Amino acid sequence: MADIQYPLSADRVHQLLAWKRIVARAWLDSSFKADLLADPNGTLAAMGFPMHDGVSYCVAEDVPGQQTLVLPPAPDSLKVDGVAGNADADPGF
Amino acid sequence: MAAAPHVEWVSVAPDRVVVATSAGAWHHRLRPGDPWEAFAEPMTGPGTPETTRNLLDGALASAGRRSGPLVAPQGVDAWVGRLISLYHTTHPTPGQMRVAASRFAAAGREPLASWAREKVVDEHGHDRLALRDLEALGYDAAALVGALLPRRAAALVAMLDAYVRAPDPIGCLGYAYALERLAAERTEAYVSAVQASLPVDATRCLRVHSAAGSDVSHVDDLVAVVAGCSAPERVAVAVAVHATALTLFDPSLCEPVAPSWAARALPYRRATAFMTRDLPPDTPAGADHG
Repeated sequence: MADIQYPLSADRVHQLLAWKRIVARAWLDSSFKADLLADPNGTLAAMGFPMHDGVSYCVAEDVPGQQTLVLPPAPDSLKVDGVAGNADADPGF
Repeated sequence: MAAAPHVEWVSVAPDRVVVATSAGAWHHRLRPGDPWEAFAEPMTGPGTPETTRNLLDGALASAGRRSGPLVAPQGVDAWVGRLISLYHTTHPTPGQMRVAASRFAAAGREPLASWAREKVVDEHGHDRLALRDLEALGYDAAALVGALLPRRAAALVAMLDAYVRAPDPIGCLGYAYALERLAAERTEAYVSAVQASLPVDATRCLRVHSAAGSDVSHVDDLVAVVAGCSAPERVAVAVAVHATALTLFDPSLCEPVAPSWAARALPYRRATAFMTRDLPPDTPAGADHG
């Protein structure tokens, strides 16, 4: 996959920094990993992962022979008739 | 199990992608940090008429905020500005399409050259319809459009000129799609509402650029041409659709409320019968000639 080149928000940078520490600790500490999988929100918060109000986090573990794919949320649909009133001119090509 | 849908997509901002299938188009926000982000890479693969139409519609719709229903401008004061804009955006089109046709042909891109040649013919004379409408409303139309150029129309004309003269002129297809697709949103009811607010028939140009005119079939023709293009070409067209729509919707290009179009156009009014009746009683007929 090509390099992903789009801006990360400061908040997401902080989350990724915390996530790096959490991942490293889970590799070293099987008890911590079990806590993380059983109670992701409590464990993430305890590790300084910036939490968002109203957002619950799920953590899954990839193991050899298994990979987790994440479905993005269903996006907003786009309709031309919903935006046509934005112009103060009648289009003539 | 249903077959996986055919998908087309285009990036319209650093973190936003329009994703289209035959069922519609969606606005997808890229997910930073997800190595499985499905739409971070440029589109590949062929188009289909259904998905390409939705891709172009999505690129257009993603340029605007959700608005209420299209509201028809009411009265001569509002309509004269619209007609001046229609004149300026339609006037250069045949000439610009002639340039595009020549450049597509020189590059051996015959389907695109053929489309552009058809536009030279299809769009010929539409500027005259706007002039006839302005004359019907009592203006010296040639003098009026020579003196007044709305900012949005100027930006659009410059945009089309830049597209046809770019190293690859394919953006002119996106420009055409944005304008013709939005013109097709002008329903018969919209045209009737404009006409009902005017003292004379002054909707010739609008009728041609509405759902009742030829722009609906022009959109179909354009979709067929674009669907047959390569993925990078379809991306370029969709990006141009989006950019054109941004210009059409840009609030900074709205005309100032004052002076009104009526005031700006006043020096170019002729003393026609209905105009004379409209003048205040203490205004001598003909006193408003420029």
